[in-house]
Amino acid sequence: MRAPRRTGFLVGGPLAFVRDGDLIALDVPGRTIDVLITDEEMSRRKAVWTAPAPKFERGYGVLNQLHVTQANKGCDFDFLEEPMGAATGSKIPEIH
Amino acid sequence: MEQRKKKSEDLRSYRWYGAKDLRSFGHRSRTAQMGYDASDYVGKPVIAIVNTWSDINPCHTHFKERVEDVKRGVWQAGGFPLEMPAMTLSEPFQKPTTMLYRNFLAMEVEELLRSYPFDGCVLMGGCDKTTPGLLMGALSMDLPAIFLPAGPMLRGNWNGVTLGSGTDTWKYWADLRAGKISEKEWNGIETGIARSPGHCMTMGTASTMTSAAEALGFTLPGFASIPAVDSRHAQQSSLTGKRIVEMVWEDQKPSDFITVKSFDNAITAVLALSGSTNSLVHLVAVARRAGIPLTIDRFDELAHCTPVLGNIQPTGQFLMEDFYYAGGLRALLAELGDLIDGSQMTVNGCALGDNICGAKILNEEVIRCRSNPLVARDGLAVLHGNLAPDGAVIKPPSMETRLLQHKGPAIVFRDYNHMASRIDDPALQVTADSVIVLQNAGPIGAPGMPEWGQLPIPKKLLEAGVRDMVRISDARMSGTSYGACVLHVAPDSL
Repeated sequence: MRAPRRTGFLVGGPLAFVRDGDLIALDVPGRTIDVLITDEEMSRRKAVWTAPAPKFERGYGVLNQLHVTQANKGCDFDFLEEPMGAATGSKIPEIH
Repeated sequence: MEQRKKKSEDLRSYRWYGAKDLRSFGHRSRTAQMGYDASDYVGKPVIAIVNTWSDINPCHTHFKERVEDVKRGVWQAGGFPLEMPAMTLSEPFQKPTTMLYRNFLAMEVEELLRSYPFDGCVLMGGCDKTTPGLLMGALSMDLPAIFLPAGPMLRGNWNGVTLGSGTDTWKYWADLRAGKISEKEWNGIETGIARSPGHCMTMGTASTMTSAAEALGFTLPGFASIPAVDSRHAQQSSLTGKRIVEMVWEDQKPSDFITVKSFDNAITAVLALSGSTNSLVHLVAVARRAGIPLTIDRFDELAHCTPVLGNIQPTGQFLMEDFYYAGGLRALLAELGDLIDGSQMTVNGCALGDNICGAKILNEEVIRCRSNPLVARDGLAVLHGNLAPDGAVIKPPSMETRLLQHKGPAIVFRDYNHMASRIDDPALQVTADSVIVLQNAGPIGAPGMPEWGQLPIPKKLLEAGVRDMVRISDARMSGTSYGACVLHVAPDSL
């Protein structure tokens, strides 16, 4: 059986690097959303960014922290996404 | 009823009840302890009625009665009903957000169905995240399953003014902050905006997701549009109980009727209703449970050709009660014609096209004809860019058109408390052209991606008459909300 995947926290998406005064361009007909800074500037900001401490050290919050997927993937837990099959779970428990 | 594909000995529950051994003695003697004679259950499909009723869920207050309606149907069809309470997700009360617990409910449903002697299930939900949570769990187990939608509440009413859930809360809150209504009037709205059992009666996440469930094929035809307190809701509940017993004998599982095309139908229905942006997150998650690799870009593709026909708040004018009287979802789907794949199968054993055949629009203001849509296309739009490499979503019909193409300087808040402490500061350097950015509000950061995405407009701008600005976050937005809010920015900012 394979080990459960860890989606992992501390994603650090580009939204984290926007600063006051940056020009932002929204173009709904063109389907774009951009911050008008150079790629180099984005990389510089990312390099000095420090991730905040995880919010949870126990319980369900930790489960969410480690396994929730991003919005475009539905925010399910990564270990639940697989359709059930022989290797991933049984529909019938053993009765002993 | 179709011909039975199963015999009693083939039922999953037979392993608990039918064997002649020590354990089955325990199962039978304990069922007797609950007051059931062997004739009540031997050889019958055992039906889980997964009930998300709770004292703290106002959308599901009628579920205590409805579960009895379902049981009546199950008994009459020759099944053995057992009510299974499952975690409720009460949108108004659960913090930081019900979304954090959607997967919890999905896991609970899956494990309830796995670990107990069930042959099929009725899923009772409706309040926002209960619908996807129930469907996700049921899809993973893939036992015969039918969804019972809670139904919307009646129209809100205050001093003769009709009120819509959520949508009018935001509107009158802005008016209160701008000094246009008094505290006394605000208190009057409080008692009249939610005046019956049922979920939000605007096209919020609840109505969006129950309608999507119906278009997917998970409910009896027309059920999702019936107000919670209408007697026809009780009737459909009883019929739902009858039908699940037949589904067990026919061995009709979700995997037998859920397809890529049934998800296209669900998305098209959501778009034609100008449904909640939450539907992207939920339908993608539900689809992936079924092994269907749905992406958010599919919503954008279908939005190009789908007109908004449902004239329902927040995009439109009317409420779910009006929608039901105007013909409901069946009439809307029928009007969509070739945009809906009528060959997809549904829980009642009929194709969706047969279920909606002959449905007529009874009020062309509430449900528009394709020749006179509320919005021609693009009920939702998916955005990409260097701010959202994996995508973001916006709801164009609910925003001021002057903002469709906009460039402005960012005002950045690092988290919700930071925003709350500064947004109304008279010294805040903000104009109507500014772009408000909230960080750390995503699936991990917040956590749970709360519905904070309709970021507040600074009070000084509200007083100056500004009602919409470009706002960006990795949060979600209530389906009852509106505005030029870029949501679900992925990856999230934490």
